[in-house]
Amino acid sequence: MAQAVAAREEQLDRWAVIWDWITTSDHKKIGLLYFWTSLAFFFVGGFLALGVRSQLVVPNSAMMSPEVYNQFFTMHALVMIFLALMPMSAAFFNFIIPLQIGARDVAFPRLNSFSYWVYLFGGLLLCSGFLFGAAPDIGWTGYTSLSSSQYTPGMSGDFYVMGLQVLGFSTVAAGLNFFVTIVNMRAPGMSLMRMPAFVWMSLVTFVLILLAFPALAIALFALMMDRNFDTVFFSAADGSVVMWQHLFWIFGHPEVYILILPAFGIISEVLPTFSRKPLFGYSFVVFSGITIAFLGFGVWVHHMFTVGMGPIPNMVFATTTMLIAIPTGVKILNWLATLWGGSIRLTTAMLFAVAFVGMFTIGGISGVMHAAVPIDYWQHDTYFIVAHLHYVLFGGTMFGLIAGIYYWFPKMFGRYMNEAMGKWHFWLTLIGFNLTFFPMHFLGVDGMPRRIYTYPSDFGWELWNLVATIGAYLLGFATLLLVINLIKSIRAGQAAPNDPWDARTLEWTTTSPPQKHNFDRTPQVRARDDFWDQKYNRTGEDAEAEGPEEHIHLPPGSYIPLLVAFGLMLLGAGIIFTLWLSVIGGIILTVGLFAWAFEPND
Amino acid sequence: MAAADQHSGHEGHHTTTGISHNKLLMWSFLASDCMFFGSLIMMYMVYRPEMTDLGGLGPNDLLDIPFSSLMTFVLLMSSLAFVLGLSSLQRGNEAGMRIWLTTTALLGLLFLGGESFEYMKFYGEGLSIGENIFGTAYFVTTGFHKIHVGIGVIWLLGIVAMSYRGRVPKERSEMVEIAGLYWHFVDIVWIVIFTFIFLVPYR
Amino acid sequence: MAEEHAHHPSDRTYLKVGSLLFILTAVEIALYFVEDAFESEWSLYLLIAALIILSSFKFILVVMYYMHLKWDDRMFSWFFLAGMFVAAAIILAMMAMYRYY
Repeated sequence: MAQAVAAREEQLDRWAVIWDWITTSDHKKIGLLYFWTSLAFFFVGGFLALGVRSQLVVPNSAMMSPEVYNQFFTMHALVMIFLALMPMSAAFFNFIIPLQIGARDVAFPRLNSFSYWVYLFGGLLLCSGFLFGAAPDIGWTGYTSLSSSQYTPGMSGDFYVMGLQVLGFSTVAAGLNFFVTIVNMRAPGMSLMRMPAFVWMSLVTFVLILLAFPALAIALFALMMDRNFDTVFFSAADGSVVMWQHLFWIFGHPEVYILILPAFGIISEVLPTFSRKPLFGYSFVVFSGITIAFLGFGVWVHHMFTVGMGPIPNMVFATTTMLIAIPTGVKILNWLATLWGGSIRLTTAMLFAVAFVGMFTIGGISGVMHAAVPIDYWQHDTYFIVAHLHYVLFGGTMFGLIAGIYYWFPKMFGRYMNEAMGKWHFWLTLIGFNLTFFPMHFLGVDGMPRRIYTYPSDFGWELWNLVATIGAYLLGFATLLLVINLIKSIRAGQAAPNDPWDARTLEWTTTSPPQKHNFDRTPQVRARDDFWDQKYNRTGEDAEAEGPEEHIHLPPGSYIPLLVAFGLMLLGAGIIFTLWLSVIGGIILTVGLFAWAFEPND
Repeated sequence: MAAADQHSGHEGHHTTTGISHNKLLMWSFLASDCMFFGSLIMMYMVYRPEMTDLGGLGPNDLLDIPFSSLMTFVLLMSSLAFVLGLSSLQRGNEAGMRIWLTTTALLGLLFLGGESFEYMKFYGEGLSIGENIFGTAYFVTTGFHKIHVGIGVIWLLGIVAMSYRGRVPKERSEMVEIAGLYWHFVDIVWIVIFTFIFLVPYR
Repeated sequence: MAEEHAHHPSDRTYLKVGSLLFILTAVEIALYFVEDAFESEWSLYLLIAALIILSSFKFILVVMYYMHLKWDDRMFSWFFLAGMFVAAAIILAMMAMYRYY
């Protein structure tokens, strides 16, 4: 009897825990939700990548049909970019930014939870194409007229359009929320130029999100109208087919910086900590980040050199593109100079950060190569581009994010990760990564086009394709090690103190993992790298760096963001399936918004 | 978005810049909205030269400048009504605010009605949304603007309703001010649209 | 808090701005019909120039007075300018590319 009651209570308890996670508005919990969801999607994307590589391992392979292959490579890109990399950055935005600026939460906690649920539902909507055998198969760029209803009449194009449209809401909402948070919720004394580099790079990212995502939203909106409501925006006869490419890349190029800048920020935290030196040329890192963002809006045509707009636009955009190499080079110099003469500790996080600098430089240099128009004519749409973008997005963004995982894991879970396993993970990743993607440079120069589902045997492409596939499997295995390490360390890792790395910024002043309200007292910031300053430069009364006792107000949880997000997803899904779904979604959305507006929130 | 942002802030909280979260949110949203409308207007302007000789129904056959001018005046006057309402509230005159904001919303509805009338007229004369690039770009660009106006009207009426229940006192006038930023933004977008879609001749 | 010290323009100012908006729009429309009578190339360019100037004027009036940017925190002006600048630059670049290339 007693046992049954206890079991039942436990079950009730479990529901309470689940309800708590569903309704949470705590930035740390939302950060963890982002973290695990993006990791799961990272595996989906990785699985798709292995499918692609398996198909290409030998010439004339018939492992999968061209139709399935098209879905695989398209979804690989979409999942990795929109469902794995950006949300994993968002996991760190959520968990780390409020801690680093000494705040108790983000500016709009419910909007934050809305962002997460829209991300989850939008991701599921995008991926659910597989259930209908109609996942997007038009490349992640979705060029018209291929994506117009004439050439992609089925649902697959609609999954692309509506999936991304719904996800865009999540990103813009998060961008607004964190922009306000950083501008408005810094601890007393934290002037802009005292903000940690990660916060700075994130702030630049949010500006990019706010100004670039609208272009994608409008492009998708116009494509949706073209596909479903007979408008002629991108029709060859009445409109302009190339217009889609313009709009897409007006968004798409800043998007590249949206992906890489958070990783820049993470690296700018990890390198100083494990060199025991301040970031070299902090203001240069900050202002070069701003310059990259600014120039990032003026380079989109370099994706379209072969469209045939003539020498003058190509020349102008080639110049602006090469200009971006300057602020990027400044950053690389700063990171190297941070390492110079430091007392370096080669933890796993540090290894990934150092590898980031190397790998990203390779990707950056190949980027400058095809900024030159004549070279781009040769390399356009070949595996050289695939190699370049993976060096930037995997060797750059992903290495940076993994460094972030190892670096902040003790803060997030209160335990260390296993360093021995971490080092295995690092070396296997580094070797696997280079085995996979370096040969693609050769393949591209030898003329292998990207996105082909197979190739004949007499072009001399067999060897490097074989090597790349072996590398890809090695990379997949290495990533499994990461997950095993994560799970083992959460269960039985060595307990971590508040400041396990002897680090420099505010998040390390609070407990690991942080209490619900983050800080007992609002920190008072007196210097850049304030925590380091507190530990080593201040003495006596000077060390008393915290504010007075205060009333701590935490917002209650709410299920309404989930409801609104669900309504939004249905609204999008209705365009794919049947408009009735849109009507239901619209009603849920409207009711939800009113409930949101009138829900007591204090 | 509109309904989402008016309530989720922490009123009276200390902020770094001394500005409330809600107002900052609205301004950053407007900066972002510039690009939403910017992308649409960009498409319109790029397609505009093609519209002069479409072969079929074009802007020169359809656009009715006197009527659109009237609608423009309606929208401009709604903005004036709004600021008068805001200033009533700031002086503590809640009833005055309600009257002016209701006027604003009615003018907004009049604008929507007039524009819908124009849509019907165009459609009746044979310009469907997929007829040619003018139909596509005109209906979608102005339609996107109309969605904004519609959201604004609902928002304003919501404020009026809340004010009747005494929930919009003078101290919370910022909430009205934020709705106003949105409303005026929609107005200036129309200034741009009116000039470049209607007034600049198609030749 | 900053808002308490914020300058609230008087109703007179609002009305003045409102009538100015009214007049500027009327002038725009009048110019449109005057130009209609000429229909030459120079009058077209003149009209376009005039319309751009007048509507920018209206734009600035609404933003400065009705949206209070004249008295509000300078930061807001920068946000708005950033959005406007990026949008305007992209529109102009695209128009030029489609027109000439």
